[in-house]
Order: sequence, then structure tokens, then C-alpha cells
Amino acid sequence: MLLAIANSFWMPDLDAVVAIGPLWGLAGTIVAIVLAALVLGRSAAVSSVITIIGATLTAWICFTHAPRVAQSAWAGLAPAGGSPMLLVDNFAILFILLICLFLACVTGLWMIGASTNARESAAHLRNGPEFFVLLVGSAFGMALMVSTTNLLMIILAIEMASLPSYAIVGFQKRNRIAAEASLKYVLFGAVTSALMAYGISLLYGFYGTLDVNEIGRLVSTELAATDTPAAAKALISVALFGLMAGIGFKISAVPFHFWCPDVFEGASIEVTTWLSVASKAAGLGLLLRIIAAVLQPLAETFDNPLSTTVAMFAAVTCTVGNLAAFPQTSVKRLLAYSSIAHAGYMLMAGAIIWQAKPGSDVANPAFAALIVYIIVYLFMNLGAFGCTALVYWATGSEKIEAFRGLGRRSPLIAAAMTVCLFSLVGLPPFGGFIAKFYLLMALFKSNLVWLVAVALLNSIFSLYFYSRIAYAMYFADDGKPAFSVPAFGRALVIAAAIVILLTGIPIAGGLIGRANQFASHLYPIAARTTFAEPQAAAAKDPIPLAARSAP
Amino acid sequence: MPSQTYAIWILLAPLLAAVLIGAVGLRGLRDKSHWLAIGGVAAALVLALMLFGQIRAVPEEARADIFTRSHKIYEWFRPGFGGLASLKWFDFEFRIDPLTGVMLVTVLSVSLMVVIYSSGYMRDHHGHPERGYERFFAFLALFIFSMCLLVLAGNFVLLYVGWELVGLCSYLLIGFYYPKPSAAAAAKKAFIVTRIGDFGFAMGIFLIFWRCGDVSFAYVFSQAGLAKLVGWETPVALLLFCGAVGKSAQLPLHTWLPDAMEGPSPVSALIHAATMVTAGVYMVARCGAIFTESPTAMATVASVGAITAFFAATIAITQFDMKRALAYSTISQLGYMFLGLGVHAADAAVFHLFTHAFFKSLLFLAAGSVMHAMGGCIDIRRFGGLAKGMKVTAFVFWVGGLALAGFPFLSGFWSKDEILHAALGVSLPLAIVGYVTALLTAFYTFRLIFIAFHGPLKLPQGVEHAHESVPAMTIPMLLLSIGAAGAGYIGLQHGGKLNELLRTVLVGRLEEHAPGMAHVMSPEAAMAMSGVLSAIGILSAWYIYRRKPMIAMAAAFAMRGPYELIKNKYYIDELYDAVIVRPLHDLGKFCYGFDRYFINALLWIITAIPRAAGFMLRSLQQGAIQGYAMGMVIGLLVIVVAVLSAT
Repeated sequence: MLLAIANSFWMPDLDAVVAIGPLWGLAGTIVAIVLAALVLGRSAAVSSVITIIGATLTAWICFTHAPRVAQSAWAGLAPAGGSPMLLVDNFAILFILLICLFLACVTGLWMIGASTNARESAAHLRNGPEFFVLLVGSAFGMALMVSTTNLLMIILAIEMASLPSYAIVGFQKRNRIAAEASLKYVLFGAVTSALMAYGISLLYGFYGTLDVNEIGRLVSTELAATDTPAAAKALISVALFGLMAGIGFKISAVPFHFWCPDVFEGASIEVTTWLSVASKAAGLGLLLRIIAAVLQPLAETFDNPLSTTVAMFAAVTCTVGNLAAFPQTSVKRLLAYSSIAHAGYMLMAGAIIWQAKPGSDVANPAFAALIVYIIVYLFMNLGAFGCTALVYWATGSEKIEAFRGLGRRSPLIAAAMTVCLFSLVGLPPFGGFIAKFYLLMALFKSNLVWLVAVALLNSIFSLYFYSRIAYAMYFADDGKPAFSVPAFGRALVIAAAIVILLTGIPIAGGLIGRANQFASHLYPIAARTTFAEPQAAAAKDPIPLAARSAP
Repeated sequence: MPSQTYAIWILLAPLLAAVLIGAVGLRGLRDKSHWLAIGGVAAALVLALMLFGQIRAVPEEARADIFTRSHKIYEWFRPGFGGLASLKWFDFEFRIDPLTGVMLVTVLSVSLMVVIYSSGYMRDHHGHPERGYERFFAFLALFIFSMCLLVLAGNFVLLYVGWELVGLCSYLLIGFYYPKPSAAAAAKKAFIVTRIGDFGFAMGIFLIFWRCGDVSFAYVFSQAGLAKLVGWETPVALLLFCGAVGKSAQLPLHTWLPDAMEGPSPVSALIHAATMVTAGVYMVARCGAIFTESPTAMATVASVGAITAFFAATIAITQFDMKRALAYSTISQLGYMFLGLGVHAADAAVFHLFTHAFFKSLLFLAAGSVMHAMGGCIDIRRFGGLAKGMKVTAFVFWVGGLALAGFPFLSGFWSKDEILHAALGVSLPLAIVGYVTALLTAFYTFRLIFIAFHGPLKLPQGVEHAHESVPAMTIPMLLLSIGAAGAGYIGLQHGGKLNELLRTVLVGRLEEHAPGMAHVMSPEAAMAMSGVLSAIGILSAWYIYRRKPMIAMAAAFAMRGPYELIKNKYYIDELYDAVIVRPLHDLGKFCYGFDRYFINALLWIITAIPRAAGFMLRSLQQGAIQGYAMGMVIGLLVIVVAVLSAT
């Protein structure tokens, strides 16, 4: 009896504990912040330093972990007989690495803000430990998002990422705009969570499994079969889109984007920076997994109704984001719309259905393109928001007017901002160009020419509003005095600009090569079938995939 | 250490120096920025010498294999990916062979001397650094990095990157004194004129990529690569040569180089005499495999070289600006190198490049030293007899002058002689032009020396006495003068190791292409002849400018027409101005008007649509959550309907 009860719990062995090392790193950081607050007293400085150390350490774990993951049999961690709750593969490791790097950068930005003693940082300083627990908590949720294909874990991970985000958006309790932003964010999150839960319950009801790969296989056979009633097909599609709603909310895809500009404007700038990148990266990572599992097995023809719908989603998101950015006067809001537009570009990758030849380990080019895009986007947005933050802290305004004459007042910041802006447009020789080039190339080769046209047209639109800032910086000097910014802040944005320049031409090939490797670890997921047959799967897959369970 | 590790650090040392100078130069340490540059270049030079040692140590039988290998550092660019990898990668790859080794050693040793010299030159008489001191060293280090990249490049794209980077640095450094309008104009001219040649170069690379499907030297110069170029060698070679003509200031794109002397003298010495302008020679030598396949291209290279050599030498005789005269001399010497390349003597051409780098940079540094002492004046009509006050400068100028004149047993003698001897075997007219130019070279060089350094002391207004330069300037000059005198012994035709080594990679010795072709003269006779011609040139310069100065004036007067023509550089600048520059300028004005009034209006109309759409979308974002919920529901409904109708 006792043995039966013990057996019904999943008991991780040591290997499994080591396998999820990066997650331990983030969880440990949270614990360390709490303990430090208890032992050393509430100090924002201590918490921020612990966060940076924790994030760096986790990034380092990811780094050392990646080669071991590629060789070892770690794949799924699951209770006996069930579908794996956590996946440990290099795709997850890459995204966790990016999230940790970004966490360290955002914490750095926060420290700069705290040192300039701006109004909202005062609130942060008072409640430093709470803020960082929440920040790292949302990072932890994002790390979970990219390392699971279990529907329950997906809900859990998205909530884990969202709840702390709601709180840090409204962290300045006495600020009305922030409180309003937070409330809007919560309401939107609640509605989309409900939609997602509904979709997931439908899927579970249809198939009786929580494993996305299993569901993907079943969905594809069902949709491909000729005798399936049309109503059933439609219901399946609706269920899938319910699932997509949760992700659409995280990446602010139209029509789940309405929260984005208000939240970005209301939240303090570090939080905005954090949400604009990390939350999108995690959402897209999860999206890629689901697409690989669900859409990929459908790759019978290029003309796939689901892929067409994703493509339309992407086109509309991108166009709405870019057009709505036109009349903005606040740089923060403008960048919010820009982040919607970029979510649209990245979503385009989701529409690419790749027909790999059986037995070939060639990855879907969309995945490699998207990984490159996310990496470059991370640095572009870090730079753009970082510059905006520095200007805001120095001038007290985040309007485009505040950027007037920046080329003279603070030449280095203006130069870094220009690099980021033109990279966001996608002009050569910056990283944004390379990212967009690979993406459009993949679209083009997948016969989605109309989507290429949409993306190009949108890039032209976006040139207009991004260059408005550049114009203000260099051609609209209103003679305001020069200002100096903290050296660390300058170093941060210049480092971002240098990375954008490096990814632009000098290391572009290495980047896409690496991304391709990571992508091929993700695909072909169809070959993995289920996790119940580790031996069979191991024979087919370059990385042996074995479900680990207690004896 | 594997050779590519050396190569990487040779590149990184000057690059890091440039970045660090840029980073710390703005803060306090501006005064010391030359130390970073000197350190970076010295480290690179040590590594280059070690690398060269490694190249030399390659056993004979392994050379063909090792020297044609491509050293891949990382995958650089891929036009396709995943299952789309139908196109080739461009790798970040190096080519490490004797040609690269010689170029690296040349570039870096001259660079080191010039950087040390600059730390003295770029200061005023009180030892305070000039405005932009750190900028100067940052650009100089960046240039050295670019030049090393150019010679290390293992494919055409990387070569082109280095090629354009040195062009950029040249632009930045010619325009170093940018508040001066003539410097700004000269910088622009240099950039634009070389770009005309670069356009041809780029076309050549496209053509190669189109035919071969690859740009790596390792492939293009292999049997398989050359086989794909069959029938296209002449256009490819001529297009590549366009780039060389622009960069190496050959006719008809030579006009930028004399103007480039607006830059500081160390820049003239390093970039516009010793290194960058020889990039064209390097490139043609590197692509010897393609050039030698096309007799037309070879003939073009040889004739352009010979004609430029003669033509520039005649202009050099009439110039009174010491640096400009030396610039024409550089053009003329580069012409020699192309003559060498065109007559299947690529090793001799590279050898001449090597020796020329030493003596010409020495001459420019000495001219800079004179200019420094004369308070910025460089017109030889306004000073004279400087040898008394400036002993070291006069001495090194003599050494450099003798080497340039091809005086027996100095470096220029050996290398020039080899080119001329090879020319004799191919075409008598070209060889005669070459020998006449040798005579003119000796004459114009010593005209400068006798006017500037000998005779009664004469100083420009405002300069009290001719003082010798600081040790930071004289020591590098003395070191270079050792190179100018002795560099020739490294590469002696008989028993010299350098040419032998070079010949293992440089394709197309004449003996292979036209075996049994009889030389008009024996090597010894040719050598004696160039020695005699050089002595005649020197003696006649001595006679005319020291003994009977009236002769020069009388000759100039008697041949007024030709003299004015030559003195005004054959009016080529004026011709270009009338035929090309002005019409382009007018076209530019027209385009500006068109753009301003028509395109702008059109754009305003077109952008009205997205702007209007943007305002409409903004009205959706009212801030009220009810509206948002409505928007989301409508959006969802649209999607559901779309999905339902699609399935």
C-alpha cells in the first residue's frame, strides 16, 4: 500500500535534478533574495546585486549545460506513464540563457535608474526585495514556458510569468497611471487565460492527453483524414486558437494587443523594457514548440488553413503595430507599438510550414530565423529602451521633443539610439537587417510571397516613425544644454549598439549557423512521436529522448 | 601555435589599440594615446615576423599544398540556410602564404616606424599634442588593422572589405585637418575617384561569383575554379584591374594621390606611399592565376604601368611642392610595379613593392621633418641649403633618394632592375620607356635634394633657423634608412631567398609562359645599364641645379609649351572637371530640384494614407477597457469565422 502511494508520486533521481539546473539557478535566486532580506535587512542594493549574480550564474549554468544536454539522454521529466512535464533540450537552454542575460541587463538598468534618483525608483528602493522577487519570479515563469510541452504546465508557466508581471507593472502603488496599467493588464490576462483554459480543456476532452506532441499527432491524422466531419475540424481549430490566445496575449499579437501601449506607458521604464523583450521571447519560444508539434505534422501541402490563419494574424499584427505607431508623440508608446509590430514579424515565422524530407535532420528555416530575430531583437530593444530611459532620467520627459538635439547634447547616446532605431527598421548593416533577411528568405522559400510583401511594406512604414526620433536627435536642435549620463548606462547602451553592429555583418553567418543547430534540436518533433518508447525514439533522433521516471 | 592564431592576433592587436584609443582618448589619457598604438603595432609586427618564420619553414614539397589552403576562422555569411543551402558560404577565412607574409612584414614594419615618428610629428614645437591627437592614432591603428585584413583575406569578399576599409581610413586621414577646405576636398576626391575603380572591382567579384559560385581564393584559383572562368578571364581580369588602377593611382585615375598630400606627412608616408596604394599591386599579384590566363589583360597591365611610370615621372620634374613631387614619384614607381606584373615578373613587382615601401616612406617622413622645421612650408622655392641645420634629415633623404634613383647596391636598384630586365624579355618599347623613366627618376629625386638641402641657406619667412627634429622622428627615419639601403639584399635574384619563396605562390613566371624566349641583354648588362642611367640622372641634376641653375630656367623658357603642359599635370584635372565633374554637378542640382519638389510632394501624398490609418487606429486605443474588450471580441470573432470558413 505504502509502496503504491510512493510509486504514484514522481520521485526525481539525481540525474533529473541536475538536468534542470538552470531552473534551480533562478529558483535559488528568489530564495536568496528572500533570505538576504531576512538576514541582512531590506536593502534594494543587496537584492539587485543578488539578482545580477543569480542571473549571471544561471546563464553560466546554461552555458556549461548545453553541451551536456546535447549528449545526454535528458529530455523529459515526467511522472510514471505520463507525458513529460519539463523538457530539457538546447532550445529551452538557449531561451533561458537569453532570458537570464536580459534579466541581468534590466537589473543593471534599474540600478542606473535608482542611482539617478528618479521619482519612481524611490518606490522601488523602498520595496526592493519584493520587486526583485517578482521580477525573478516572472523570469522563472518564462523559463518554464520555454521548457514544456505539457498543457497543464503551459497554463501554469504562463500564469507564473504573468502574475508577477501584473504586480511589477503596478509597483508604484501611488501612481495612478501605473495602477490603471496594472489593472488593464490583469483584466486582459484573465480573459485570455480563460480562453486558453477553454481551448486546452477542449483539446483534453477530445484526446484525453495533455502532451502537445501527442495531440499534434492526433490532430494531424484527424485533420488529414477525409471522413472527419467538417464541424469536428472546425472545433479542433477553435480549440487550437483558444490555446493560441494565451500566447497571443504574451506576445501582444492583434487582437490581444490592446493592453500593450497602456501598460508600457504606465509601467516604469525598466519594467517596460523587461516586458517588451523577455515576455515576447518566452511567448515565441512556447509558440514555436506548439507549432512544431501541431502545425508541423500537417505539412502535407504548403496551403494549410491553419498556417494561412497564422499568417493573417501576423500580417494584421505587424500592420496595426506599424500604422498605430505613426501618430505617437511619446517614445515609450511608440516603442510599445513597435514591439507589437515586431511580434507580427516574428509571428510570420509561425506560418512557415516546412516539408523536410523524411530522415533528413534539416531544420525548419523558420525556427533558425526566429531564433536569430529574437536574439537581435533583444539587443535592439534593450538599446532603444535604455537610451529612452537615460534621456528620461536626464530630462524628465519621454516625448520625442526630449530627444531634440541629442546628437549634440549626448553624442554617444544619440549614436547608440540611431543604431538601435535603424536596426529596428531593418536597414543594413545592422543586426535587424540580418534578422529580417533570414526571416523573409524563409518566408520566400516557403512560397509565402504575399507575406514577404507585407513585411517589406511594413518596414517602409516603420522607417517613417523611427526616423522621426533620429530626425529630432540630429536635425531639430532646440539649443537645450548638454547633459551627462551615468557611465554604466552609457556602457550598457553602447554595448547593445556594438552587439547590433556585430550581428549585422561580422558574425551574421555564425549566428544563423548556431541558430540552425538549436532549431534542429527542436525538429523534427514528429519523429519523437511519444515519450513512451524511449528506445525507438532514441534510434530515430540525434538526441536520445528518454522519459525519466521512478522505478 | 597554428598560423591562423597568429593571423587573428595580428588583426586584433591594432584593432584593440584603435578601439582603446577611441575609448580612453577622450579622457585625460589623450597625451599618451600613441603608446597604445605603438604597443599594438609592435605586437602585431612581432607576430608577423614569427608567422613569416613559420611560412619560410614550410618544407619545399609541402608548399603547394599548404600555401593554397584556406584558413577558415568562422562561417561568415550564408545566403541560404537549412534545407536551402544551395548557395555557398562566405567564410571568414585567411590566406597565409609567402605573399601575405611579405606584405604583413612590410606593412607592419613601416607602420611601426611611422607610428613612432607620428608621436613626435603630431606635436607643436613645445611638445604639446595637436588637436585631434588621439583621433589620429585611432585612425592610424584602424588603418593598420584594415591593411592587415586586406592582405590576410582568403576570399574576394573579405578582400573587398579590407579594400574599402583602407579606403575609408585613407579618407579620414587625408581629411584629418578637415577645417581646411583643401583637405576636405582632397579627402572627398580620393574617396570618390577610388570608388570609380572599386565599382569595376566589385563587378569583377560579382562576375567571379557568378561564374564560379564561390569567392574563396582556394577555389577560384584552383584548377576547377579556373576552368569555370574559361572564356571570361579577360573581362574578369580587366574589371579587377579597374580596382587596382583606382587604388594604386594609375592612369587615368591617378589624380587623387597628389591631392592626398593634404593629409599629415606620416599618413602620406604610410598610406599614400608604402602600403595602401600598393594594395592594387598586391591584388593583381594575388589574382595572377586569372591575369596570366589572359594575354590582353597582361598587356593592358604592363602598358598602363609603363605609361603611368613615364608620365608621372615627367610631372615630378616640374613640381615645386616637395610632397607632391614625391607623390608623382610614387605613382611612377607603382607604374613600375604594374609593368613588372604585366611582364610576368610578379615576384619582381612584389619585391619592388617591398623595397619601395621602405625608401618612399623614408622620403616622405624626411619631407615631413623638413615641413615640420619650416613651419608647414613645403615649397622648395622658399627654402634651401637645409643640410647644414638638419644633418639627419639630409642624410636619410640622401639614402632614400639614392635608393629611389636606383643607385647601384641600394635597395631600389635591385628591385627595379629585375622588373626592367623582365620587361626586356617581353617588349622592347616597354623596356625602353622603363629605362627612360629610370633616368628621369634619378633626375627629379636629386633635383629635390640639391634644391632643398644644398647650396646657400634659405629659409621661409617666419622661420629663424633650420632645426633638426626630435629623436622620436629621427630614430624611425634612421631605422628606415637601414631598410632603404639594405632591403634589396633579402631578395637578390641570385641566391636570394625572398623571391624564391614568393615564386612558390606567384603564378606566371615568363619562363613558364614563353620558354626559350631570348633576352635582349644578359642580367649583368641590364644591371650595369640601370646603374649607369641612375648615375647620369644624378649627375645631370647636380650639374643643372648646383652648377648652372640658369640651364633649368632657360630650358623651361625654351620649351614653354611642353613645360606648362607638364607643370599643370597635362591639364587632366581640368579635363575631368569640365567633362565629368561639372556635368555631374549640374545633374545633381537637377535631381535635387526634382527630389525636393516632385518626389517630396508625391511622398507626402503617399504617406498620407498610412498616417490617416494611424490616426484611425489611435482612435481605437481610447484607454477604456470596455473598448479594448470589444475590440478583442470582434477580433476573435473574425478569426473564428475565418477559421471556420477555411476548414
